[in-house]
Amino acid sequence: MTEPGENEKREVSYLEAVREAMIQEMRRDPDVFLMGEDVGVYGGAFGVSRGMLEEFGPERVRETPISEAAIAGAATGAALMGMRPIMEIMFMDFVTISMNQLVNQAAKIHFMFGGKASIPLVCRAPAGSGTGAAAQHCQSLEALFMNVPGIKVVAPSTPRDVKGLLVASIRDNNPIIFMEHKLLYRTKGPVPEELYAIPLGRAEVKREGRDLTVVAYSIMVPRALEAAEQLAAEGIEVEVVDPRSLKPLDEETIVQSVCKTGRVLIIHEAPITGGVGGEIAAVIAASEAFDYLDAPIRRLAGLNVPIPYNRTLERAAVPQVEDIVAAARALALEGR
Amino acid sequence: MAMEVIMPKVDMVMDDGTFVEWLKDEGDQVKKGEPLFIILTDKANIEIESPADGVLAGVCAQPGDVVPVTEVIAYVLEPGESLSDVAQAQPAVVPSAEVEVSVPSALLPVAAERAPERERAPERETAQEPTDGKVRATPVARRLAAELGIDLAQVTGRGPRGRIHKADVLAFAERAPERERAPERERQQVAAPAGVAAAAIAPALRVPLPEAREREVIPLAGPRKIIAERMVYSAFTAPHISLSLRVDMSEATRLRARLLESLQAKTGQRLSFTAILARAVAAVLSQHPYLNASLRDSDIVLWDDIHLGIATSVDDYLIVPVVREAQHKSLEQIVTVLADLTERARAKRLTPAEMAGSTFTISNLGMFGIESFTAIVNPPESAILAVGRIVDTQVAVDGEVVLRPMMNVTICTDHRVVDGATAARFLSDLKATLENPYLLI
Amino acid sequence: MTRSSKKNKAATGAVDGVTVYTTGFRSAGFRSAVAEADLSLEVADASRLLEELPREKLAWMLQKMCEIRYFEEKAEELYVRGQVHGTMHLSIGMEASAVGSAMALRSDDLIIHHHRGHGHTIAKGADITLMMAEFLGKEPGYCRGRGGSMHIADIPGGNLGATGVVGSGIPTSVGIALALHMRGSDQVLLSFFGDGASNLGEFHEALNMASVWKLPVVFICENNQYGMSMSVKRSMNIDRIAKRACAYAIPGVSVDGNDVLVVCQTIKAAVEHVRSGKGPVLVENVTYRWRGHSKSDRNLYRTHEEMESWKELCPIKRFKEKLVEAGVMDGEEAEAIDQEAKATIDHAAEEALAFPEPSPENLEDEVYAP
Repeated sequence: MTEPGENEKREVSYLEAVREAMIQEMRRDPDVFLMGEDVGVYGGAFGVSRGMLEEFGPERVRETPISEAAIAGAATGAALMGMRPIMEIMFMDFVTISMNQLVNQAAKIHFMFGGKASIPLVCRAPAGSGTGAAAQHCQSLEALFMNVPGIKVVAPSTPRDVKGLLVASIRDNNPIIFMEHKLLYRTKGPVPEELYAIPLGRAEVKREGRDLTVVAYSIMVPRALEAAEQLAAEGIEVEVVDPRSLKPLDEETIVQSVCKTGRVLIIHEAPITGGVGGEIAAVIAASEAFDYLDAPIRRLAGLNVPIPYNRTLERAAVPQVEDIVAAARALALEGR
Repeated sequence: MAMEVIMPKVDMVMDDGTFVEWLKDEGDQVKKGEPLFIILTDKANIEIESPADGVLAGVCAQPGDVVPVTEVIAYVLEPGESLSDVAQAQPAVVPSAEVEVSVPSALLPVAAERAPERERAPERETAQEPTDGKVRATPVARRLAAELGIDLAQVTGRGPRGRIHKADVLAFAERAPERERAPERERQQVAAPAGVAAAAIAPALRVPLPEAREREVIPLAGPRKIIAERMVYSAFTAPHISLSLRVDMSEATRLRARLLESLQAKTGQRLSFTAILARAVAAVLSQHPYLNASLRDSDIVLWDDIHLGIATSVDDYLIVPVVREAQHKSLEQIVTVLADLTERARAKRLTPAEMAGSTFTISNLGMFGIESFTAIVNPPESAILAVGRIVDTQVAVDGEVVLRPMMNVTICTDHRVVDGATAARFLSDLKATLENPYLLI
Repeated sequence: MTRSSKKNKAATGAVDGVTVYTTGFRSAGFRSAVAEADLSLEVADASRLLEELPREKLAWMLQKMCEIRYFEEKAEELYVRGQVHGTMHLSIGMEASAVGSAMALRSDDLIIHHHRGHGHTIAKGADITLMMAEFLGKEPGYCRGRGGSMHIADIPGGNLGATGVVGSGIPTSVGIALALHMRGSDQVLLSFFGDGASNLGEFHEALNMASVWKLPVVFICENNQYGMSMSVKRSMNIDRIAKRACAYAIPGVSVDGNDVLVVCQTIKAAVEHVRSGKGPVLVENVTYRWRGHSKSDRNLYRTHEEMESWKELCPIKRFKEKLVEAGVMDGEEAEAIDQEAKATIDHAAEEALAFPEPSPENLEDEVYAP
């Protein structure tokens, strides 16, 4: 399966890739519009929508009061009418205020109304810790939506992935939680200039290896790749699988990788208890990969703590490269 | 049209209601919407209204009656109607709108996964020892072991708590030669009489455990489980008798002292009492074939070979290395074989073939200071010799009390094959041989 | 406060015909970009409708109100017979609010409503058999049996659905109206909710946003005096919910929700205001529900007398009287319409009961849109 941009030379940041996806898609489809707090002149809290107001005007780059419930409701209603709103939640933490509209309305209308209406909305939100924003501005809340049928969850890790997946998400006829990561915004990577979509539900093997599989998404992908480089020097070859979308999940790619290596470490930033890692672990354990497992399925995830303010504590609360190295090494050597 | 008055459903979940009282009487005029009767549900008393204007008739619910939802308890008749009109026009039973939703298929695979784990049945015939259950091993190690016909109980695992990994199985496969698919094994399968489950470990009695803090929990698995199964089988199938006597080991002791040095020189091993015992038993057993026999279906098979099992304790387990064809072996050979078996037993490097197939077992607990004991026959054998410590004891010899090194030996037999007299004769001959070991020459 | 009111004699608990609430922002020193004209609402006299509207339309209103009444009673009967799964929220007594509002709409205007929404759905022209089928959980129902009483939607008919979480339709209304605005359409949305919903944070967020963006939505609060069991007297410290409008610089109107002509005139004025781009309006239809909140309600929180006094104000009875009094039709014709409505409902129920059930095999079909 070829991915777009395999030979791309042009380097663009993750943040610019998000903007590019929105701009290009908004040019193509007049029903797409962006809505959120401070997305106009201010250019968005993280600068994602800089320049968009000038091109599309205040109707399509629509600033809102601080009203996450009304924003989500507005997106739901507009989508119900056939528009394709992108709602920006400034910090993923605030999606809790939107939950009623997203969970009880957007996720359910298609089903509740017997398939007679659909809600093609994208809820974009930067998540994650590392900037010292503390407990209420650093969460990764993707797990909350895993358990709500009718809503999809996407968590891209690279500039190329984020552009293609955002385009696909905008075109998808379902409500989608699109989780960006604050620390990823400045990362750069090859991104094709043209408009392209990467289908949801397709994972990517970011690095091949034979000794163990690491399943990681969002910020944990670059950390896992760095850890893999270090471990390669020790003779441990790590395969890194990036699901890219969590719901729908590409179970096949993950399972095949575990069949190959026999050992798997699932990594995410969100706290371990009730996190997406548990879901992936259960999927692996119930699959044919079980017969190939040579060690228990292991998870490495955030501690069960709110994100602390202090820099050292903040680092310690979520997996860092050295934690991944240690965990992967231990797993690779278990019983060897 | 007469209107039915029914026990109404007034709660989301309600199958019946308790009738409390009528607010109007039979024959009364009632108006639609007027309170007509009271019922009691989970939550409270409720007034139920009349469904129509008319005359109340056919009242049949009484205070205290528990009435199913939708059952008719009265009628409201229009002017000119009577109850007999109603009796003819029974409405058809209105179908329930409840939807029975069957379990979605997404749930079914989970149910299948929860099926209890059993080792795959085909492998059981080929593996030397059945290994179902709880040896710690990873899925891929298990699969590999099954494919290679390796008994996981013998594999040393280097994972936490002895967990066996793929590498351990591969290593084991490299060291040990390919197993013979011993067909004799199958012939020697113990015939399980109907009604006795060979694999039953616990009798069907629920005994409450004591209220005590747990020190450790060890799963009944692997070799321990096998021992347990066999002992239960033996204890509950074979009617045991045991006979004891004491042997004067003076001469045997002297013999040993005399041969110690030369045997040490020839074999590099110390001559043990066990070896002497084995030599003596082998010699005597030939004269008492019923103690060297097995029950097979409805036959008693008297074995020509004497494969002596020497019960050995290794790491809290009981294993029984076998000295094969002991009837042909000299004391020296027995010493050599025994030493080798014991050493490898301790290092856990015995092959399954070496640990099974005995026709008679000797169990010696003398080194632990035990003076006498009884043992359970080791199936499919029919007898087991339990040997105690040599103790200086006062005995009467020629009318005088002297101190002699006495050793208690107890023969336990399966009475289906060996009765008391037969056992006694064997024991008696054994005593004679041990007390005059020169008979062995 | 500017007021334009019309007295309408009624028993305890009734409200003046129409009361419009706007605030003097200038005098309150409030800096606002909202023109004074945008905050006022001229509601014409209700009795004029008896002359202005053709007989068919007036008959239609009576017919619809009767259909709603009989529909609710039939729903109740089916429930009592154990044929309805779950529960239902009946709007008996609130027919005028639904029908009067619908009467004021253009055929391409939209509504969104809530769990007590059978009335709105019928008033907006839904097929009664398919409605019955939906809350009997049948496959041919509006939502293929997957939504039930609380979630009936008739999208092609402009009924964008009922929602079961109180107030959750209000922010969604903002989105619907936003789409209308962005597309340059002059369609209008009626957003129905209850007195309880007006205390939710989402209500306030939504009204503010709709006001700020001048969206084409009429927010209609059907104040039936009770949330579930909590009286409005205990749940808020204002006597008229319409007064909340001034917090968002939009007109607020409080009317006798049991007088279908008053409701109609008021909504007409509101719709006109909204359609002309002046922004949203908050209308409060003061009414009463005769039945409990749901089928589990024991009515322990209100008295028999209260319920009886509101039943005196039955909107259907009053409308029939007005029609006959004004000579639009005679008593017999009114009865005929009434009985015809009953027959329609009985027939619909019979048909719907015979419909097939949905199959569990299709259960996961409509979770995601293709």
